[in-house]
Amino acid sequence: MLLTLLACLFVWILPVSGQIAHAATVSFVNPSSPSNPFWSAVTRNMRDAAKDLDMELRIIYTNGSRLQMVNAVRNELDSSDKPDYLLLVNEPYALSNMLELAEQAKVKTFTFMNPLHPGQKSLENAPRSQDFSHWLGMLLPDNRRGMTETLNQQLECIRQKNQSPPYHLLALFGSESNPASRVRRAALQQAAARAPDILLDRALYTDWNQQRSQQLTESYLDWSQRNRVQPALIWTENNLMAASVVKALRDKGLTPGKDVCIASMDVSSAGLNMLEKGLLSSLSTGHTFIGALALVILHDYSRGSDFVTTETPYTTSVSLIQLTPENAARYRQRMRNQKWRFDYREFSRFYNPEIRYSELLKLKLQNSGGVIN
Amino acid sequence: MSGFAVRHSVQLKSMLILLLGVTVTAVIFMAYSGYISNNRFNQAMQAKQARIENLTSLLASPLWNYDYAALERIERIIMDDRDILRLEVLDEGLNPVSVRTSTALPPNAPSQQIELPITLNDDSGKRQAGTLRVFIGKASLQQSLHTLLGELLTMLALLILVLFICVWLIQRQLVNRPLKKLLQAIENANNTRTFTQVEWQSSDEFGHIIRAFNAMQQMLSAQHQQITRSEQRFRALYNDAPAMLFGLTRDGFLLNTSQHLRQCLGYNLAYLQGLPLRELLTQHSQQHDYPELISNLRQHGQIREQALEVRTADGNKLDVVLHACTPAAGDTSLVAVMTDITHLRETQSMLDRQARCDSLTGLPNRRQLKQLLSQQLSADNARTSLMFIDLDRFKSINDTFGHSLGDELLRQAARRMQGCLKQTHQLCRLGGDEFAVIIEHQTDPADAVLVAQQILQTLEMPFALADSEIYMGASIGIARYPEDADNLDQLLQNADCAMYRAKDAGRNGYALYTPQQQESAREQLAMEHRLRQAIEHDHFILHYQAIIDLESGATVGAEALIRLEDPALGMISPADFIPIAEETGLIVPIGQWALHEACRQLREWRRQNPEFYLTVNVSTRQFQARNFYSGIRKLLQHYQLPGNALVLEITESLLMQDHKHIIRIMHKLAELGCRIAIDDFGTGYSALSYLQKFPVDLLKIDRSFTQGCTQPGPQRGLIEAILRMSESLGLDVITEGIENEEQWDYLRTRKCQLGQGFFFHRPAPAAGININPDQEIERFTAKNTN
Repeated sequence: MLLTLLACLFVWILPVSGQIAHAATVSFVNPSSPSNPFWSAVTRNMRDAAKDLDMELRIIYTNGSRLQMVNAVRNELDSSDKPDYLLLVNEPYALSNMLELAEQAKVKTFTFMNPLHPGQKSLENAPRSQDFSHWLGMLLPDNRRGMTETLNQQLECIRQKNQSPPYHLLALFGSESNPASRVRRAALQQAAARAPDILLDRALYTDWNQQRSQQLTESYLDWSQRNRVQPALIWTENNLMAASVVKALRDKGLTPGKDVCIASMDVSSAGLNMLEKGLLSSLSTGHTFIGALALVILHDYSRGSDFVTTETPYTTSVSLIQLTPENAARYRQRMRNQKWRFDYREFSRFYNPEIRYSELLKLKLQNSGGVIN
Repeated sequence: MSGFAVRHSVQLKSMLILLLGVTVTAVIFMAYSGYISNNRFNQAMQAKQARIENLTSLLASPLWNYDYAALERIERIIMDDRDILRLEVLDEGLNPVSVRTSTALPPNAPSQQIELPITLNDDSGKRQAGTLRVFIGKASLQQSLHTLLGELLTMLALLILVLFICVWLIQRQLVNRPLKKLLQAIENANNTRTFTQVEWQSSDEFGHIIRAFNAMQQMLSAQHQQITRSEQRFRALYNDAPAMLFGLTRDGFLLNTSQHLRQCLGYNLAYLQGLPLRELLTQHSQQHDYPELISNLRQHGQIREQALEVRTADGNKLDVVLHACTPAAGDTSLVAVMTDITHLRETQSMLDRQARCDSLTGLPNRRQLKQLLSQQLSADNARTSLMFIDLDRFKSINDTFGHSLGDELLRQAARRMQGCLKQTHQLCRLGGDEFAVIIEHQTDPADAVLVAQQILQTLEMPFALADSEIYMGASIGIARYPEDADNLDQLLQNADCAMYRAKDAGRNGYALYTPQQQESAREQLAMEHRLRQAIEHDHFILHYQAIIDLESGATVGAEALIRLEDPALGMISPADFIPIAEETGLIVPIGQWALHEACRQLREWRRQNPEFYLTVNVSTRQFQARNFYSGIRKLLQHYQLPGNALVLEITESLLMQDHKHIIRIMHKLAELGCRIAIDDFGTGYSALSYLQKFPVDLLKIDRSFTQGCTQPGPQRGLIEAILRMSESLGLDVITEGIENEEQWDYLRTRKCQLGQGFFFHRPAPAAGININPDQEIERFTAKNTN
């Protein structure tokens, strides 16, 4: 507490802002709805972080509507109680509008989770530029590394099934308009290209739709049958898709986890179940903490510790972790015990100037979860 | 050409051409349409393909991403084209993903299959997502193509139909009608030679053609008339020309005989047309002339002056010359002309006769004589006598009684002589009064003499002509071959010589040729040569004999007498050279010289005695010379002499000549003052009447009268008569040949004024003449007194 006061004093004397005297207010424009499991998890972790870091977090759900997103930003900025920081998720066709509004309102903005879309090239070097001087930067998951690790996990799985290479891979992604999906897809394609035994047959978008996922999987299976291809690997962007894949495989008379190794991202209860049952071979996770980490960074910034000076300029990537059937039970347990909660002050460079945001999360996850890759 | 039923009419031809043109156009049009349609078809096909290709790209994502709903939508869009029969979407392994078949068209309809790669181009690059296989039906495109072609063909057919109708109408209205009129006019011109004008008015080409045609018709009409007239003229010329014209084929058949020919031969046209020329010829000509004629005709296509004998219808024979030639290159028949030379032949033989015979007596002439003689002499052992006969005094008779009487005399003489001759003797007339007789095969020279004597006898008898009896003799010379001459010329010359010898011997006799006669003739020739030399080298001189006034004895004038002083022979007597000069005509230049010299001398003398005059002898030939009068006038002028200083002595024979001319000259001379004296008056055949006709001033009484005047007798009577007559006529008289005083005295008593003679003076050169009258008188007076 003393430290907090000291810090407050320190900050106060800085010419940056007089707002730092009180707890920094952050408005997070949630691109989804409270029902979305992923974004619920993200939001929960963010709330934890705000609590830990004594930050006021306002959450505005926009239900995936870009219009709502922009309106939310406008409302936030127009309100008498406008936040100190805006926390945004990159949504193509909406981000630049939101950033412009924030710029006009002279409210610092930070974006996380979704990387820039190829159509947003103008924004690539925009943070802290003349036009977007109030856009502080971005925090993104390290998809490339994550994908490589996932594929390795997949390879390991399939090799145990006595199948010979090349191993045919089907990847199902959420939505083309989702920058994260796109980035992950690109990352997967690159990783598949690097892996000599893997042949990526399809990288398809499912629009986060289960039925669509099942259909596509069935189609793929038909295709593989037509083309005398043995399906070996399936990757899905979330657990729901994975469930659809399982269903489709079964419909086609295949055994998930035995005939085909399935990997997915994110961890849901259902997903964890499937992992435990051996239907899935791996789950990559850690994304739900990125929002919280973004709050840490804003916290640090508000306390005068600019990530830009120490990390990669503007953009920081966060490494993820892989859950396997072996460590699934442990993960479940931790989840169930609600113990899997970090003290987010440990992530703050304000408090721990030596740490690196990108690596710390993975480390914390592994340590806390007992997961060892 | 009958009517206008032309088998290949312009209309038909133009329709055919049109048909051909339209067919070609149609073919081109069809080909072009086909080409265009094909292009359109291909374009439509390509458009379909392009559309499919465009849609194919849309297939990539749904196919790749197994978005079969989207795939189906796109497939349906593709299948919207009702030409697409079947559509197959294959995945990248070429396994069919979906197959669609059109229900609109039968599956076996003609189609074109295309396969298109379905290429996916997303953020992970380009790859083939599959293949689209499409079967595009051609039916609808072909249907539209066929429809299009059908429409075009229908249009074309309609166009051709309309075109045909239009052309037919145009032909009928614009071409056929004027053509019909033109043809009518041409037929008229062809059939009836009436060049009618075509009535047609239009401003198109037919209008131009018909105007030109009408102008041509007009011109043709004029030409036709001209040609007709010309043809008539030539026909008339051909028929009426006095030439036997006809056409002749190369095979010798007659064509187109002229009227004149028919008239001449007496055949009609029908008979002669196509008659072989051979049939017209006499038997002789058929055998001798026709082969050459027909050969020339066939080989050279012409006949040049071929003499033929043609028989006429009345059986007579005509001598003709045939000439035939090809009138123009390319003509098959020749134009021939026969010339009747029957008269020509007769004339020729007459001329021949005339050339050989004397026209007056009908006897062979000199030429014929030579020819006959030549024939005689060429015979072996020829013995021939040639007799030359010259009628004595014929010239005087001819001059006295005129030529017609002379001619008659010659005829009668010829007849008489002919009567003395045998059959084998040939009488010829050599010209003038000369005749010749050839006595053939004479064996005895006396035969010729006998003939000569008979001729002399018969000619001695008087000829009863012009109401008087004329006596005439002949001189005959006889030369024999081969005794007197070796050849013809010599025989002629010797007979001539002998004849002159007979003449010299006193006429009316005959002489046989002797070699001496030849010598004499040679001398005569030498003399002629000397005379020519003398004229050239001036060997003549004048001597003068004084003319004395018998009363007073005074010399009043002189007679100029010419002498020839030859460098080799000395002085030659005028009696020796004057006859030869006369005969050769040299007398004219000699006489002129004498006149000249006399005048020159007279001028000198008249300076001493202004009354002195000269008498100069003028020969008949000299007097008749063309420039005689003018020469006298110029001489008098030149020597400034009065006319009366010159007395011209002429002989009586001159007065027998051409009266008018002589009288005219004499009168002109009288105008100059010259006096005319008649020399040797009384010795010739004087007809005293001429003394009245001619302006004669003086008579010179010949010495033969003077010699006998002292004795009574006829000469004395004559002198007295002459003197009396002269007195009564007012003429002066000079008596020549006074040789003694008696004669002088006698003549003085008879009142003869003038005289000359040896008694007074012998002829002497000019220097010897004393022209002083007084001195002369004294001399004669002294002589008298002596």
